[in-house]
Amino acid sequence: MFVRGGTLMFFFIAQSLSGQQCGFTLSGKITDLHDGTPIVDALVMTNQEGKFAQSDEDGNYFIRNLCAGKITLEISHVACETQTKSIALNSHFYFNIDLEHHINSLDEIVVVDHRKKELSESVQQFQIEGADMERSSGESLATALERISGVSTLKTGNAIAKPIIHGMFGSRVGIVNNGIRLQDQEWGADHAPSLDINAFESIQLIKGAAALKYGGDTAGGTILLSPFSIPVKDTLYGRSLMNAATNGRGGNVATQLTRAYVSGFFMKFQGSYQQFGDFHAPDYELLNTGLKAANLSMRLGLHRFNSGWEIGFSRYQNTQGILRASHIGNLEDLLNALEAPVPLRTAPFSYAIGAPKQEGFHQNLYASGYFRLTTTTKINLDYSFQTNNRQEFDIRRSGLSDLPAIDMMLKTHSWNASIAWKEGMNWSFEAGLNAVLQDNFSDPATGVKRLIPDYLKYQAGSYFVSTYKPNNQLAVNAGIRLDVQLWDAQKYYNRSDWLDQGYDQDYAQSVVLDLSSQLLANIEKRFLTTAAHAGLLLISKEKEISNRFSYVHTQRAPNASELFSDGLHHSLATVEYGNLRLNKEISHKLIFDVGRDKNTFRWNIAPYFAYTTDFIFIAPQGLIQTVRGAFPVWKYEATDTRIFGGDTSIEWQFNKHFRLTNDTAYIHAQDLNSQTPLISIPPFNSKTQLVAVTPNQKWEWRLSHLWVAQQHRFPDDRFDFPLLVNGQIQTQQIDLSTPPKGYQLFSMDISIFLGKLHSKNFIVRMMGNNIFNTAYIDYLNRLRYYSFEKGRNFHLQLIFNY
Amino acid sequence: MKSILLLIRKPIFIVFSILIFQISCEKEMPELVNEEEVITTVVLNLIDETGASQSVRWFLNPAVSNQASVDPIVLKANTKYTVSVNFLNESDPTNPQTITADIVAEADDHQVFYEFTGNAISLSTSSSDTVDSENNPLYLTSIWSTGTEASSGQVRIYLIHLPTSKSGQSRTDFGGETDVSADFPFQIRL
Repeated sequence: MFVRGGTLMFFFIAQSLSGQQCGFTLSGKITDLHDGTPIVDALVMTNQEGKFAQSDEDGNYFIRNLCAGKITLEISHVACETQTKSIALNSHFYFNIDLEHHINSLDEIVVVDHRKKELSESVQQFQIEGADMERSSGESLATALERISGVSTLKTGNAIAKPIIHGMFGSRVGIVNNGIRLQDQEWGADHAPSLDINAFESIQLIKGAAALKYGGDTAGGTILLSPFSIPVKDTLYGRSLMNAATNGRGGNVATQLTRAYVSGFFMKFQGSYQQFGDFHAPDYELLNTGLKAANLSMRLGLHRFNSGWEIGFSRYQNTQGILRASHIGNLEDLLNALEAPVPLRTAPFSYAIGAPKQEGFHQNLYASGYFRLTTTTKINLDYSFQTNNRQEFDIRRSGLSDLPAIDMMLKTHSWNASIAWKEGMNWSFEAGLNAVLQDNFSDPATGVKRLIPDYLKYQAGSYFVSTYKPNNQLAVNAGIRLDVQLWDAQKYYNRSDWLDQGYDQDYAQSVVLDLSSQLLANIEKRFLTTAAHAGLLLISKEKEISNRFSYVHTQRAPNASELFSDGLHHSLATVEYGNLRLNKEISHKLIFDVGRDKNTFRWNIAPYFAYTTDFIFIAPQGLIQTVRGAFPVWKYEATDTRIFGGDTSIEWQFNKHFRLTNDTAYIHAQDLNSQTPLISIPPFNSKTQLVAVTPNQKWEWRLSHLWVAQQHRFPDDRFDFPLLVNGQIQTQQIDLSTPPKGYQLFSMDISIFLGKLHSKNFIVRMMGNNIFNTAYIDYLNRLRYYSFEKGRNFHLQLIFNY
Repeated sequence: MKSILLLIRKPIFIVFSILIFQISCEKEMPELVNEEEVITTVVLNLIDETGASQSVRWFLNPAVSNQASVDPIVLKANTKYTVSVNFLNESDPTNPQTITADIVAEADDHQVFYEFTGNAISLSTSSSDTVDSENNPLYLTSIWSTGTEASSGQVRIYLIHLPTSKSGQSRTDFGGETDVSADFPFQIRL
């Protein structure tokens, strides 16, 4: 007793001696900025060790035993932007906080989910989370992104898909995986991003502009894939889901589990497996279009207010069949296929995947850490090692079909260091450095001439971005980035090509080995690129209409395919050549965005205009003779282009139960040197959706209509070709460039939400795509000559969140 | 928790240093690819009824040229020729590879065919031809019968891989993928 009393007294004396008083309570209510609804499970962290709280079901939070002084609060929530606030505490304090949220998936059942989310300022950013993420759990990344207006998909068959944004794809669209740029041979038009969508909880798209932090070369946009932040409490939560579809008779399963501790330590495991057999078009099976994919990832780390670290590993591998009928020998085979009403090779349904096919894996090992120098200055460091392997199997003679015709191993190390700081309440800055070291190895054991040569690539970049945000009505962004890129490639050239391209004059000094019919050249190239961004966000006083305006300047060095490509593309019956003389692309873009994101009628209009010099694209050059007959040759060239267009979005909430949305996009792209349209530009398209929700919000029904118009603006690449017809050589005009007719597709889905135990829920979703089994051809599918697109598909989805 | 952190800090650093050196700053010189399946040469051997033979060659090595070099075929009117075809890989002129043997070994997966311009030459099967497992002729050896008039034209020789049908009157009847499509000009003299 005496000891305790003495200790207590000592404590009080010590307190008053130190002049610091503790025992104060900070509390308040956290609500949504737009409509005042309480935000549940928001995490309020303070800079005082061990003092934090989580908001309850009414949005209230209590932090006890705080010491007087300047308190920095960091308020975060899985579905909101993290906010930082500073207060001077010298008594019990009541402090309400408004957060901007867009999906409150933990509380309400089927939500009015706002597909758009303004994260930062002058360029519109879109988010796919919650229910839309669930709908996408059986799809590819590109298909999931199609939910955002203005995003289309470039396909090679059904399952290989890459996003096209503002008419740009491939290396012009950056994918960032948990803060690290994905390095996975994105230069190949027939190579889909190597990742499983279920490894992430959020997909964010910065449409039409590069996020300078990750690169200055992505004029199409940046896709950020991230997991949600881990709560700082003792908890175990996860999600398991299953998709089963009729078309392809397959599906996937995915599960993830996170264990978090109040100390800030956490571990997360995630795995998924997907398998499909042959898909079918309305009237026939698409032979050899099955696929198999598996993904495993783990993260563990310690996240505290002042510092933290994280390490992770993931492996994604897949096998993808390519329509058997698309593997042809020469141009005449392609023409026969084009004229045939059904694919020239069909067979009954099977899960077997044989040649032609793609197999690959992507492995990522990373470590990152952060610490705060002061409460408003944060330093971030990360390192990643990515390995990407791509094998393509063709139909070959002498049992060689089991040997890949292309086997490339890409290894990339990347290092990032950045510092973010705030000046006062209005200014925030970030500066950083990054370095990339990349090595490509093209295995000669394939017995086929390398499509892409062995190379080493060194890259170093630095950036600086700043934001001025004095209130919720105005934000100004400015940023700049500088990169240098060095290529060191060793490539075997055919003597005939070396001479035809005139490389003997310009690159004679690069020849390392001169064999009779081939020579080995060591090509070294250096590119210096800069990028910049200046933008403004203005929200009118009544917080009704937001206006965004940005000027984005991007520069992109040519990629490995554009410089070095050298080979036959079987399914396209073309020979492709790279071009060593390409310069970097320089792009000037103006992006506008006006809209109202409140109330029952929301709308958004986003026009853009881009002028690019030295825009790299592939164009036909004529015919060459090969042992298989004459082949069209395509080569990478540069031209000046003008691309403009607009995306519009409308959301009309009739009443609590019905909602109508529409997303429409149009692009106009012109090659200014030849005054012809650009190739592979998405046509005008419009998607309309009607959503109905039952009064108890347990059922949701959606009906969608997609209209894709015929693309009338395309480069007329018709060419004359001598065909042997009925005993005569006739010159015929071959037209492979005219786009197919437009089409309309209807889809429907019904979601049933079962269970309301706080954050545990069980969702059943039945989806039907192309419910009228429409037969259509998609201009953006490079294999469109061989078959119709997929027919009707019914799909069952079971999702369990716990 | 802290102790675990300290324990793994050092090994992580070592692991990363090893990984970095997986990519050396200098690369080995890449090996030249040995392309086994390339076909550069089509040789036709034509023997008439008297036993006189001629050999013509179509050759294209893409590494060296984009233009094939072709020998013209000179035929007599009203004559039957036994024609045999041979496919070769002469990418390395010092080491020619015969591809025909592979074709014979995979007879079910291959088909040779000929299409002529005009109707001066008619094609028929030869008893010395290679057949596949279903007794379909491969046309590696065939009979060409010339007409009565003088004329000229072109013969296209196809090598078809994995044909969808093993019989037909024209290239499209066979389906499959074209591995060779080589044109020879011919002349029929009286």
